[in-house]
Amino acid sequence: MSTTPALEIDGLSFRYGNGEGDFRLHVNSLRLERGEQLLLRAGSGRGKSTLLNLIAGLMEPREGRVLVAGEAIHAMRGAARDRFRGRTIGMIFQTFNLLQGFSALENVEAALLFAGEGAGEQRRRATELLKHLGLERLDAPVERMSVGQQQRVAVARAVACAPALVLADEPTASLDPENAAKAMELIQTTCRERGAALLCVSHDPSMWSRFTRVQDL
Amino acid sequence: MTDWTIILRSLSSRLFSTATTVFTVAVPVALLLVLLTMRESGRKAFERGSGDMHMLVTAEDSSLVAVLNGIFYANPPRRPLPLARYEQLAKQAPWAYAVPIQQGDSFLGQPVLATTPEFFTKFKPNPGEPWALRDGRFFEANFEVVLGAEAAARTRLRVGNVIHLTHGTGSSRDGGHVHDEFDYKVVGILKPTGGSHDRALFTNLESSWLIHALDRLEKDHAKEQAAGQAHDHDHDHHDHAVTAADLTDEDRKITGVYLRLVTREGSDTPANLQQVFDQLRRDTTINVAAPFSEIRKLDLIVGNVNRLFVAVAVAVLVGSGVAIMLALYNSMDLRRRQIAVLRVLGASGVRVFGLVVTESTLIGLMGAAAGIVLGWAGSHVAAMFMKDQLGLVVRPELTPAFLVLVTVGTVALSTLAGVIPAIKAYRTSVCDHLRPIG
Repeated sequence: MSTTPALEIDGLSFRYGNGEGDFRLHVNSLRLERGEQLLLRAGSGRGKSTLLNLIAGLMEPREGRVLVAGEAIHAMRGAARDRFRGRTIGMIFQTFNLLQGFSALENVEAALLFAGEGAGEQRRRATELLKHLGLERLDAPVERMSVGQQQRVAVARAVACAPALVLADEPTASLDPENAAKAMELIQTTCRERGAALLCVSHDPSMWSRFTRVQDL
Repeated sequence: MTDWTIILRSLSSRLFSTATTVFTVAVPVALLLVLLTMRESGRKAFERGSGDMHMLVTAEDSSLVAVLNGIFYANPPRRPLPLARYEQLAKQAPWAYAVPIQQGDSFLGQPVLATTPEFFTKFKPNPGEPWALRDGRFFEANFEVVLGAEAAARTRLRVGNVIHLTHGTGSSRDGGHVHDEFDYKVVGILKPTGGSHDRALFTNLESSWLIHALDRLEKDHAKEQAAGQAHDHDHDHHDHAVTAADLTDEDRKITGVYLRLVTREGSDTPANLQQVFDQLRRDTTINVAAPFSEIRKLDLIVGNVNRLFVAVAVAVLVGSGVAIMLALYNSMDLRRRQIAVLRVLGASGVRVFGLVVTESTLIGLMGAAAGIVLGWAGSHVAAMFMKDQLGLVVRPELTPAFLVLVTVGTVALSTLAGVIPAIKAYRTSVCDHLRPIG
């Protein structure tokens, strides 16, 4: 395994607008080693999702730099950044954001498609991953699956490309405590098995104890 | 999974919208194909009908009407020519043939052309292609009839059948009536020529004149009866009484003459054509028509209308391009989340742009394909209509040139129509559309 940190943030700042009441986000320094798991806690409106979008290269910082697997993501432009994100970063959302109308298998294959994998390799890896996560009806459309099954598909999709970093944005916010615990267990275990670092943002106190490293935003 | 999976799934997830958009493309494509095909096929059909003749002489006022009636059986010619004029005409120039024709009778709505045996031995229905029999032989005696291929198919007659012709077309306008006094025997059936003669029945001139003589005699007797003159015999039927000896100049009339000048071998246009044409036109009692020239005039008249229709069809096609654009543009609102997810998974903005444009192109391609099928069916319906209503045997052919032109045009238009929705997809804000709804 590479010794380069999965994530390094240095003097990152972001601001909406120019007035007094504008939203501002500043992260002085943050480092996440390969395979490490960190929970960032913050209340609503503190910029958790904004931070994840900045790390994923979906937003542009005003200042500072973000290195993912040693690469300055904001130094990349256009398709190169998109391709890098697809290969290096997995994302899990509160509402899963699965592709509606597509099967579980296709949702995972889509991640591999944009990472440049061929159809045969996509099918092999997606099938293996989904079965490993306990899913059986791989051809079923995701909208016909239970919340738990959809969660598994979302996790499988996030780790399908063997990313260095998985970003999880309030992944248990819409679940009851019992299912939230199961979902977080699944995410943490899968990331651990795949060697991916996990940066999870959550304001749910019941999740804090599951992480050895918890940091306030 | 490939990009095609995403495109096809996107189209199938909006099946109704996709199907209606494809239909809106297919209709103008079909319309365009029918118009282009029928114009080309119609022109060929008209060219086929006149065969290898150089001129048509009639007593009609208009040359175009003379051609439409004398060759395409649009209506029975109203003004006859005396046989003597034909005999004079036949000596007037070095003709390869001068074939007299007489129209006006019919059988079950199919026109009858009375003529001489030279019609089959000298006049060629298509240049370089003489008449050919599918069955039987050409007529040799009175009251023998030969059927064109289409006439045989429509009447279901076979060689050996006996029929009775109608004097007139059988329409209420000319008050035609069936002459069951004369038994006509079917002696031959022609192979198809693709021209207007396919739907006609052919018999010799004398048979036709005898019907006219009978009509004349019956009218004379009716007048005599009305005048109270004494009768000592039955005049109900004159079929056995009327013979060639009863024929007068009033009966021996024709409605036209097919003319072809002697040409040099390998040439279809004789050097003296214009000179003979001008010479004949000096006689104001006849009409001299050059079928090829009249057909070109007709093509120009029809062509102008056709161009207008084509312009309308193109306008509708452009309208369908706008329909594609609107369908895709409106669908973008529902697909923003999907686009955002694809971007998170690593799809570049350019790739998303390409997906939407390809989707639009595919709609155009499907519309073109459906339009070609509809156009093919529509051309055949139009051909049937032209055969029934105009008597023109049209063979609709979707030529590769038309197909390529219409398909490429439609695909290019639909690709263009996809650009604006694709720009919208390209500009979709990823962050804004990944947030939980509600």
